[in-house]
Amino acid sequence: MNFQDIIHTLENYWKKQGCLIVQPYDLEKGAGTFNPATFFGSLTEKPTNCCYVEPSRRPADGRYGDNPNRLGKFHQFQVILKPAPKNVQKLYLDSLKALDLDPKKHDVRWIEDDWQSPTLGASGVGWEVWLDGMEITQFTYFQIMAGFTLKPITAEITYGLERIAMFSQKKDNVFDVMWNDTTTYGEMVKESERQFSHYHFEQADIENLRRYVAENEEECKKLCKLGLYLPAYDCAMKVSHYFNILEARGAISVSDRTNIITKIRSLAKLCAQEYVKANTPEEKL
Amino acid sequence: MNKTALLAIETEHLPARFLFGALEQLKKNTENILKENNLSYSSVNTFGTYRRLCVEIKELAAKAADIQKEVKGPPVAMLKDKDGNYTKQAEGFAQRNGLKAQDLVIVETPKGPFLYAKCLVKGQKTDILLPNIFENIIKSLVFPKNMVWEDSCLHFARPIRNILALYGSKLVKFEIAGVKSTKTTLPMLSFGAKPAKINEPQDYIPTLKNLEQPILADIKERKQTLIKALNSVAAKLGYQADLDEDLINETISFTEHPVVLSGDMDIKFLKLPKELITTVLKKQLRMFPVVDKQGNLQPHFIAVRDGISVNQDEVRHGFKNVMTARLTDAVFFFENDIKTGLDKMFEKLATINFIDGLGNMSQKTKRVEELCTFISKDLPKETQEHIQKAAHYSYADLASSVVYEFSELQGYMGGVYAQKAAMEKDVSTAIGEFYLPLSASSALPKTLCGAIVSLAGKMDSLAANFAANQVPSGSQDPFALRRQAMGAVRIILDKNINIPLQELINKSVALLPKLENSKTDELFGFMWQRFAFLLEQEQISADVIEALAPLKDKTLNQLILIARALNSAKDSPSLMQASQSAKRISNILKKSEIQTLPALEQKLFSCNQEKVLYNTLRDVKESLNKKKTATETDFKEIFSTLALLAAPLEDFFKEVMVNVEEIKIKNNRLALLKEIQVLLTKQVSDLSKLQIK
Repeated sequence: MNFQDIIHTLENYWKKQGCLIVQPYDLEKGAGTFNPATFFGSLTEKPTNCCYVEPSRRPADGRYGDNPNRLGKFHQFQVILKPAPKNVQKLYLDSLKALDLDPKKHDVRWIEDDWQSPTLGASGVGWEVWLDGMEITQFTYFQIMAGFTLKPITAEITYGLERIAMFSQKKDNVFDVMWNDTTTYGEMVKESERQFSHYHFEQADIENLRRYVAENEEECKKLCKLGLYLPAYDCAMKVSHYFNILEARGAISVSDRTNIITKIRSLAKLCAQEYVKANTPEEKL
Repeated sequence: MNKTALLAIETEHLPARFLFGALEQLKKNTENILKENNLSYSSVNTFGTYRRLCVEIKELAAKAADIQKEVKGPPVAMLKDKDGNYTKQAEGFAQRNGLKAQDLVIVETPKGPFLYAKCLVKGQKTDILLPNIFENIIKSLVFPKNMVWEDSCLHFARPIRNILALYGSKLVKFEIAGVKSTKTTLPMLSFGAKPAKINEPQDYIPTLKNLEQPILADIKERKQTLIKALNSVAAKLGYQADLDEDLINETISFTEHPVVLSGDMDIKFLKLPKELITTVLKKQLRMFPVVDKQGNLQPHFIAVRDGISVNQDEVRHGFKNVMTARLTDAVFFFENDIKTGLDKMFEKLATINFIDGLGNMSQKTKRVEELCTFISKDLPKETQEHIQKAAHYSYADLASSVVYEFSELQGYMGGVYAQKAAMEKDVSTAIGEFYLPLSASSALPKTLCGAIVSLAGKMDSLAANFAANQVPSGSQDPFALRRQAMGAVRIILDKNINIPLQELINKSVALLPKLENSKTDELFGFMWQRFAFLLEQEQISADVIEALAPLKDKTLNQLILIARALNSAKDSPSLMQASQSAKRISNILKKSEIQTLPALEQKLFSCNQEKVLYNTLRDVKESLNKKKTATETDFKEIFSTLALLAAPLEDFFKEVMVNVEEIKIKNNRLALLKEIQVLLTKQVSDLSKLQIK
């Protein structure tokens, strides 16, 4: 199945399960969990079922487009179900079936993997799912988000789209994956991988990045005070992204790292507090 | 009538590492809860898979045992009021216990007479008790990590999706975490969700086994099936499977029905160090390596999938691809490391922190080098040089890519890199052996160089962690200090390191940068415990071990000889007699409360017995001075020499009064006893600690 059909199949499948199809959030982020639909969506009692493709950037993972398994930008397909349905594991397996990956014909292994994000102050319990030995999905029951103990619990399913495409198309090199029937993944992204690797590893201006971090931090705090948690959260995401570039650029020492992570976590918490305040009935606050 | 009860907690995929512990707990907690409920049974058995934790209670009684209950009430004075009527308090107390006031009895207690309610509590029917019991069993389970997933916020390892609960053929009805108990069981997740009906507890295992996609719920059966399959598929290849016990246990903890399949590995990967390949296979991929009779790796792998095989070739292809990708990564890391070389790695150690305030790994290396100098000072010059070199590179591989990816290969990789750099064989072997032994009883460094560097590394880690107050408590030992202490003690004994433990500890502590609280004594005690444990394993009795405790100036090797000698000398009646006398002497000296005694004067002896005792003491001392102390037999002789004191001491105590009026004579006798005490309790052990069998 080609790359775009995989996306459409998953969208169709989860649409039938009652999910809202959300579009990718238009800011750089390290993982789909940063999408406001997930971050804010998991916080209050309000049920939510949605799915979306999320382009995710990991500057340090880029390899100039030379490594057949490494990308600085890749695509996650994320499903958010709150409250987590009782048959959520089965729903997931059926989605694989929809992708022509029949669980009866493959080895599906659920390996303990408890996800956590120190920058979001979030953690959950779950698995990575292996298909014939290849990790294709991260499956998590969120327990804490931005320091808030969650209730009801959200199930988050994150498909690694490139991995699934490589598996489905039996390709050893991600750039050989077919995006549609005539265009390869490599044709679509290779140049971007090359250019962004140069940028992230060599050209990114460290002083500017540090300034962006500081400015966005200030802005985030200011906006939170005004109850404008959505733009504030954008600022927090930007801080996180600039931090990732700084790290790829080799400009972050061990103590720096801890400090900035703590900083981002407290920004995320500020935004979450504002959101919870605005979206919880008064008697429950 | 007694019937079998069955509780199967069917969940989403439990982490493999939880399974064995959970089943152990399930058994213990079930037994405890049944006991609390006064329910009798013949046996409690547990079994299960990553999706079902099952407990079967055989011949569970139909009702709980009746029990005689005695409840203490108010004092007797409260029974009736001044008009002779029962008081409200008495009636209330009686009522609460299902009695009338006139049924209350009076019992004498140390605090005076009290009212008591004595009644027979009829045991309830098991049918009524079981729902609660099952619920409590489920709630009693504690996992290394828990989660919540539904409104009642039950803490459990993973969501519970079905509960099978039977007493005989009857459903035990209850609800927990939003799940109602059933008479059904869930099949393997990948093969459909239609539950299968279970009528009787004994049907559970066979029903699962007879499903279209069989499940082996019994752990032993699953293990045997796996081992048999591994052996047979390896035999087909003409080789053997590496039956790693941990991996086998892990594998049966993530499969309900292990099915093996083998595949080929590109022969080019066999150029990688063996341990690196097996670590990738076992730890990253959970695959079994294939070896020939000599243990040489072969270019194959055996993977395990869950469930009977459809589409085997495609699955094999998938596994092979993943393995190839991982081994390709390993080749990349390995070649990178070879290019980098140990010297560059060593330079990076300065950026790796060891313990806050106790320097980085480069500084730790320096200390280990110095400690090695101290330990190896009497060895030939060449050996000393090799030890120094090995110590210098001992931690270098911590900065390598391979060890960054696979921390369990620390040491081993350093050895490989040293070999690649054409260092002396002694040196590369020593680096490779640096972290040995890996467990309390596993192999020690074979070479002397390896043993000394390893010992120095461990001593520094122990001293540093103790100084940083990172001392193990209870089951918490994050820095594996117990294992390291045990390793150090075993190395000292194995290689006959002739430095008393106390000296070694003092030196290790002295090399540390700051000494606010070095906890030297605690560390000595900590290491002594490991030593004592080894002695216990040799069947050396506890009192003998205690008798060694004052000998801090002796080496562990001398101590172990003394322990063995004393353990057999203990059977000699005269030595036991000497031991009794030693205790008596200690008591006398303690009572006398004299701080400093005058020197012994022969002319003050008035009785024959004290003269005899004194002469024996002289002879014994003289004879001890000539004794060798190299073997167990030497020490046995020393103990029989000491035993010579037994008879004259006996006579002395029988005939001689120590606490006489004449102070000079008294003190002279005490001085005599003091000298004997030193000999019996300080020189080669504290004989006063021996216990009569």
